[in-house]
Amino acid sequence: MVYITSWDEFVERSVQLYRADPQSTRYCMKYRHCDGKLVLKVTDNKEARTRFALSFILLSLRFMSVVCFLRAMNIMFPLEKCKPRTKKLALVITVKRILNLVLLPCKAKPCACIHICMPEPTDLHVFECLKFKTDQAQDAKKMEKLNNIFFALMARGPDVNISEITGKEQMEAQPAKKGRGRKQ
Amino acid sequence: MGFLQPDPFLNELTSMFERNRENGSVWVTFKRSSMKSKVQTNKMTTSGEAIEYRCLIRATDGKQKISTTVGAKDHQRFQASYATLLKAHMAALKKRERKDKKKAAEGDKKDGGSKKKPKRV
Repeated sequence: MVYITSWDEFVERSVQLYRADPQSTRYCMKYRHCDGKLVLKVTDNKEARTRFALSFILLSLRFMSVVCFLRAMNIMFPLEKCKPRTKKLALVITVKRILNLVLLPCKAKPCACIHICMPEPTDLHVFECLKFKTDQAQDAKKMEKLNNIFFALMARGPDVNISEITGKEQMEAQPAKKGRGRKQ
Repeated sequence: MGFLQPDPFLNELTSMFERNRENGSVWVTFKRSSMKSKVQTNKMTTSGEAIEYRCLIRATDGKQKISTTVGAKDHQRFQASYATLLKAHMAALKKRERKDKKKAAEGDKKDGGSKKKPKRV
């Protein structure tokens, strides 16, 4: 998830994202009056593939290291010699010991300490999601235009020309002003 | 509430914004939808029928959920009413303060001899 700072970039990328997959892309808006905050999000619910592949490799590596550790522990505390009832218990104890070593920092016995230091695979999951946050009233006006763009794209179709929409808005605005002038 | 027609949806959305002024958030989501099940859409694509898509608009405040759809013919009328609704309710956002601050800074520095920029109404 990326917070985009430039409004124009946000608009361009969100329209691109929508046109790439009109069926699964959605445009969300969250408004909090008490905090005076507005957040816009455009997402297609898909993970970016390259990052996902790398995270999968890391996940499997982590699994392998845990398995190796388990096997090592098995040598130290052989399960074959245990009775069936205690086998389960022994396995649970070894898993707990591994988790303690992995999760907690190294404390007393340096010989028993093996750190499995790898980045969390979930940190590398990147969702194709564009976000924009603001607390400015001027951005609400810009959002209105984006709303109109999305209404047209979603109701009529992804092939609608955006310049038509923005052009139409200007046309609608101008005659309204002229009308007020003539009435006066 | 659930699924409503566009006009009652706008009324409900207004009351949702009003209810959540002191506390809470309002989420509004737009999505393109054919309003048909996946099975039906697959059948229609294989038989070559044209699928009519609509813009699905969902709104929630965490407690109540409402939704409506808008087609290609009536979306302009809806978008105009929706825009007025948002303008009326999104009053908590900050107005342009930078220009006022700059004016004050320039005024202090140049001792009142600065050019005054006309305020945008």
